[in-house]
Amino acid sequence: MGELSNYYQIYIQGHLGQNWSEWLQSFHIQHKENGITVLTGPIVDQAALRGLLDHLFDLGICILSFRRLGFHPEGRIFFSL
Amino acid sequence: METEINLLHTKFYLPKAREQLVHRSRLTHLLEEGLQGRMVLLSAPAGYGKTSLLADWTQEFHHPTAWLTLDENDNDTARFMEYFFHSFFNRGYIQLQQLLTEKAALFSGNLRQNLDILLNCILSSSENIIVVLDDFHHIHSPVINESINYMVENLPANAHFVISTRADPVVNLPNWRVRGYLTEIRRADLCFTLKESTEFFQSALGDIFTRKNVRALTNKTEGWIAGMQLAASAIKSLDDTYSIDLFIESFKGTNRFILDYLLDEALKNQSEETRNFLLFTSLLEHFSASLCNHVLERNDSQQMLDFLERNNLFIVPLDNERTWYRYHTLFADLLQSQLEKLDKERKRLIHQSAANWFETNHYYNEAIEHNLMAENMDAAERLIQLNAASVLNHSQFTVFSNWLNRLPREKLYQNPTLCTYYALTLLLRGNSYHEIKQILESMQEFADAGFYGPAFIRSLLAIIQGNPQEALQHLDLIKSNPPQEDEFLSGYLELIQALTLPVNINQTIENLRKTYLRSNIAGNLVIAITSRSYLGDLYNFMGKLTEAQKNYQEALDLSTIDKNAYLPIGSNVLLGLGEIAYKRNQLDEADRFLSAGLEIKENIAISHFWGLCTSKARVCIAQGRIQQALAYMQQAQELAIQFDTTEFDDFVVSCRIAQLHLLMGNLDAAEERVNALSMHDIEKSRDLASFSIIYTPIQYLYPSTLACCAIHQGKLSESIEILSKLYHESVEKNLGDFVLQFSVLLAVAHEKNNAREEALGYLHKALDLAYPEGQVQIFLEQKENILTLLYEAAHRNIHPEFTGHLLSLFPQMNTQEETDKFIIHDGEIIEPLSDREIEILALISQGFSNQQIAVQFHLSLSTVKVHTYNIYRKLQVHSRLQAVSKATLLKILPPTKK
Repeated sequence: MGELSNYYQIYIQGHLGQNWSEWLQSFHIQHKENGITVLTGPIVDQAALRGLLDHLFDLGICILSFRRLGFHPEGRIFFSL
Repeated sequence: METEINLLHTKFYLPKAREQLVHRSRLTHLLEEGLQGRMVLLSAPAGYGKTSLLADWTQEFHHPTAWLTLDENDNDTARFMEYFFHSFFNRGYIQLQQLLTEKAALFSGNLRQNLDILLNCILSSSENIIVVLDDFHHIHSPVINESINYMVENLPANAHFVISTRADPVVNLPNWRVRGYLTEIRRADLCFTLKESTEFFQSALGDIFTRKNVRALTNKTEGWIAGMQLAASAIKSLDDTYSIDLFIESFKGTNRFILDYLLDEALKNQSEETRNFLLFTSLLEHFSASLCNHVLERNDSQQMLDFLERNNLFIVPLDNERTWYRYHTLFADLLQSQLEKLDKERKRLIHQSAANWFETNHYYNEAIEHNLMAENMDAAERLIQLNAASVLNHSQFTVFSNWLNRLPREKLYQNPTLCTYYALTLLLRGNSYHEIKQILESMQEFADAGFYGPAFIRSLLAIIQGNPQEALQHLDLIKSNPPQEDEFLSGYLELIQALTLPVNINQTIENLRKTYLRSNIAGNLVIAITSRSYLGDLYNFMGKLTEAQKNYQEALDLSTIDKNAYLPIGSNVLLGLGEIAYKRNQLDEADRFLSAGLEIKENIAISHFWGLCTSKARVCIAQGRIQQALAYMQQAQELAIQFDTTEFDDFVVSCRIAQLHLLMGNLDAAEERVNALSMHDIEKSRDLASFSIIYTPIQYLYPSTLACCAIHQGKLSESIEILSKLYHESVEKNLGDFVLQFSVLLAVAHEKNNAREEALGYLHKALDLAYPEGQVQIFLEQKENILTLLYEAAHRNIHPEFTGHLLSLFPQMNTQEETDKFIIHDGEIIEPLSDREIEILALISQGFSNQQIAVQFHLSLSTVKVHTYNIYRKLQVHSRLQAVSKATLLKILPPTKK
């Protein structure tokens, strides 16, 4: 349903403070209750994706999942596939 | 030329074990055991103490160890090789070091060969060799990964690898696991056990730490050493009133990312001084006390660094003298995330300050880096320009273009010299035509003001596109305002002039020699190698293969003495050497050279790479590997299309492919190609050699392809007409190799045209030329077309030994007349003997010696020997007696009457 955007959503273990936002290439940081953080943001291509994952990995951050988001038919709001 | 200092020695530095660290003998013993096999792999994320473990292990077992710490830049094959080989020196491997030094002259641009030499040296030394590659996760180059595969595959028993990495390397791990080559130490192994963490906290915090606390912290951090170190620091800095239990409770309860939380806690209670020191220096990749003092405007950095090191606060010493340090990457990242709270201006100032310090102390690489980070583009530009000539002279084009890529475009376009250099590197890469045009446009006003840069680039462009007239026009513009102070460009200019001014080949050789000498003295390596390589080409044209070989070899050696990257022209040299080997029918050797040339390409994308592909295809055809040949031809074509700076190379490749098809006997495919060629390109190619003699092969390419096709099509007089013209021209110009090529073709054409005497005349000429240089392939390529002629030549005593040799090289092939007369005996196919051979055999059966037979038939001894050889070959025997008896048996000879 809907076209793929270039936004990705990454679930990681542990709450990351907002101070990480810029370091993580301006990703939106959202905390979930169970000690999980959701990062949402644009990734321009596969190489950039790899770079970001490497970054997280280097920090010893545990990556739980990541996926690409689609477009809401009405426009700019993203929903999960 | 500014001399550059660098931090290279830190790459070979074997870290020392730290005293307070927990000694993990279960792991050091695991490592030690693993060294029975070929490789130990330490693979775990950051912060699990891999490097500490290795240091610990070296200390415990005292093995001499070769050590190399890798970084991003080591993905450059040449650089990796240089450092890799260097890592074996000064490590206590006396024998190995000596062997490597002895063989130093053998090292060339061929990676595979160099590895073989290294492996042989290791094999020959009796020492137990251990080589550690730390931080291997930085490597993503497939060439380097392949090299690791190759080495492990062929590793002598006395050598062992240790690879320490944060991510499994892309090498043959599954295979090695199965074969038992590999010992792995992974995250699960590296986690602190409860016992180890107890010991750790004991030494860090003393007895105040209860077992319950240890267990809680170990669980929460999951044995992650980095986490525990930070936790210890945090706890140490706690107020007396704040109970440890409380800290741990809150820690257990927090959902925050462990390290982030712990760092906060650890920093919270440090003095502001320490905090600032940590935060600000985290921006520096490498730092020394002197640099810190300068950047932070204090004078106690040394004490601070000592304090940090003693307290295990994240810094790692990079050398023995304790001069240079860096942060453990984990902590650098963590600290930098804290810096977000500071304003950008402060960060910028730090980078600027660092840049200034580095510049003052002649560390230009780092100075450029920090200036770029400080967004001080002026300073970055100034430094880049300062270092451009020396960097380019050593052909470090990648380093150079990386710098330029980070300058804002507007800035670059305002600097004519840098622009010119940049355009040059793009030209060499061959697929950025669009960008080159943009640069030329932006340089227009400089051109109008008389600056030589754009004209220079335009002339190179014109040369590549096969428009010599245009190139000459642009060059004329430069003559009025030559770039004298610019060593690099003026060297290039001189080379072009040497190649283009006179048209006589001997004069060109003379000029190139002079250019070579001058550039050698000036230290202009690129020009020296290029001119030497062209000298090889010219001797090749003249048919003087041995002389050509010498020049090529020296050009190749030149790129080795420098050991710094493979110059684009390196592939041209290997192409030349490969072609010479091919001409002499040394197919394996040809294969080696051409493969090496194809390998070099990995480094820098260059034009003319397709030349290596078509040559490789030719070798494959000679070896009977048709599928492979077709694959290479395909690759050549694709590359030519990719090289978008010109369409002309598509024309050249097409002709070459057509010729390859003819070699394989595919007349239709060849014709298709030829018919698809554009008139425009054909016209262009007609006059190229008048611009520079180096273009001769291209100028002859179309007509010779046409002529070859014509021969296959039976249009003999047409082909003879074309070939005669070419023949006379090349004789006039003293181009021996082409004379040879055309005389062979003429011989074949005349033979097919039933002009036996003419044919033999040309064959004679060809043999005269081919014999002294061992040129054999030119005949073999003609296959059965030339067989009868060769027999005839041998018969008539023209170069009998050489002809005999040539004939022996032809696979079992037969002329048309003889094919009909086969005898089949006992499942063997016996080739019919010629009349002459039967006559000779008859005399042999009567006991005549070769000499007597020669006298009898008025032949030379050599000719008789050739016939005898052929008799043996056809009858598949090895002696006169056998020959006679078999021939009698087969009724070739009448039964002997006694």
